[in-house]
Amino acid sequence: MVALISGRIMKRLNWNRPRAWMIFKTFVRNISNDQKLNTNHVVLVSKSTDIFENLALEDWLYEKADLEKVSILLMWRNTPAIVVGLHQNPWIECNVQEAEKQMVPVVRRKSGGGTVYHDEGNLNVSFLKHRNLYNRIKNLELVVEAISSRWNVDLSINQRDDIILDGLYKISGTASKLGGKRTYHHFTLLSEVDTSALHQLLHSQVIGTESQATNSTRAQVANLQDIIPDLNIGALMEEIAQQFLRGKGDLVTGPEYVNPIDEMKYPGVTKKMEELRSWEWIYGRTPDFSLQRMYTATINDKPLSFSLKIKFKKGRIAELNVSDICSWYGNWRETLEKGFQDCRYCRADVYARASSVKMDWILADVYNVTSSTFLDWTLHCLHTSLCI
Amino acid sequence: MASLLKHAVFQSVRRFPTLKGSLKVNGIRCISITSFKLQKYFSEKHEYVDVKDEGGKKLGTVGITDYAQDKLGEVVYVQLPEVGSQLEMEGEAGVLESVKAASEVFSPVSGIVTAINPNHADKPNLVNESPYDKGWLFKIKLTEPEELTKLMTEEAYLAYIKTIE
Repeated sequence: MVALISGRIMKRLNWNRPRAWMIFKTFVRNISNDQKLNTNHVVLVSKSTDIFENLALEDWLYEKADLEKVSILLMWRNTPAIVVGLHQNPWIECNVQEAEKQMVPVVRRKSGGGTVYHDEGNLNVSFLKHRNLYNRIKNLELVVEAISSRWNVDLSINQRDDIILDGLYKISGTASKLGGKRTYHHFTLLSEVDTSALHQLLHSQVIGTESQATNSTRAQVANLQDIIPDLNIGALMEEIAQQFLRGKGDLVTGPEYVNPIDEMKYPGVTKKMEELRSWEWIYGRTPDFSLQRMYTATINDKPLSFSLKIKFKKGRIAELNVSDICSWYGNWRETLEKGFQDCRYCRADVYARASSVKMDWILADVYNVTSSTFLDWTLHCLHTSLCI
Repeated sequence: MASLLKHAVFQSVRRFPTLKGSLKVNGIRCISITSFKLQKYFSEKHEYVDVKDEGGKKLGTVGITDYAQDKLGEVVYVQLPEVGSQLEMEGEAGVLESVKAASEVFSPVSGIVTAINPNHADKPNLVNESPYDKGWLFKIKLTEPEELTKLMTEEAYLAYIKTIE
């Protein structure tokens, strides 16, 4: 009988047997752990729509909350933001320049996984638990059950721990962080996200890169509202909170509406937020990578080719190598290569370095009437390669 | 149902760490644990340190255990400490990323990092394939060798993971 039921469930959720067995084992273990630990269940809903403030609170709870005694469900919404995984390269994952233009912040979270786009049509759901209670499938099932209990909708969980709508469209992306005894598992839940902005911003223009950073897996996405027009995020939060607290008896708190950067309540949370906002964290933590491009042009009736190779370390130009086939303009190359040493990969810094290189060329009389078109072109190629 | 059971048996065999490094002679598995029994120490957080004496100084090679790599799944990125950095016992030493999860690595001993495994840049799943050998994470010069007494022997560690299974 058990095998028959499991078989049906597995078939419905597209699971294979080994996976189902593992989940079953963990499920049994977690029931006993839940009882053994006598865990209190707390629901927190953030009043802030600032991604940095909310991630800072999540990180604070992960480090400071006593997860042996309490399991926390934290939910929030935030204004538009691109969020990359801990070991990702933002220049490869998204259109950094377009994001800057649209004032959409690029954010690096502390969990693994791929890049996602958030806006206020997305609900962020985070389960903070003790390591013994860490179970991503269980959390996702809780949310699927919460939605299905109120709305008639076909949801399943796939092998990548994504929630899938109508067997095809991804409506939720998962990531997690594990410390010694503490963990969190958080995911997005797309309700009414602006998918055209999502597609535009998650498309990088930078080409010719080589990197060991983790890549995102692209998927067709959909919004819950496409299927359930009367769904709103407030009701969604309510259902998930209720499901989380159901059957926990007296050991429940909330939903509590909190200000994430309340220093009295969460001492040190502001410092965490500042760290998350810093260039050194967002871009400086990018795994080393390189970029190689080649350009050709005809200048003063002469065919020219120019190639460049840039090595980046900690988001900065560690090495710039340029070469061209017909260089008769004097000692321009060394000035260019040295001029960008240790330059941060950001528009303001690259522009500043470019003008100082040009100034050095002028002072050394390398930049003159005959060479100016070619030298301006080399700087243009550099800007094009960096997409800035 | 039968295949479900078969799989369960297979799982428990696969998770038994010492079998990973075992040899197959004439089709029979021979388990040898004596080669590192005296020098490997284990932490509760599933890191090991393999300690050698060199000129009176204790040098350790740190990695994660076979049990831990099995729990993590395929590792796709390895973030290691910088050479020369000072680590504290149970302090953060790096991060391993696998199936969308970032897992913190803690140093089992205090000391100064003398080398990091360069092969992880191209082949992070060495942690899975060879956790005790090619998949080591970093080398460390121990500054508080007495800390080793707080760690577990291999036997104790094997007993410990049975209690949390």
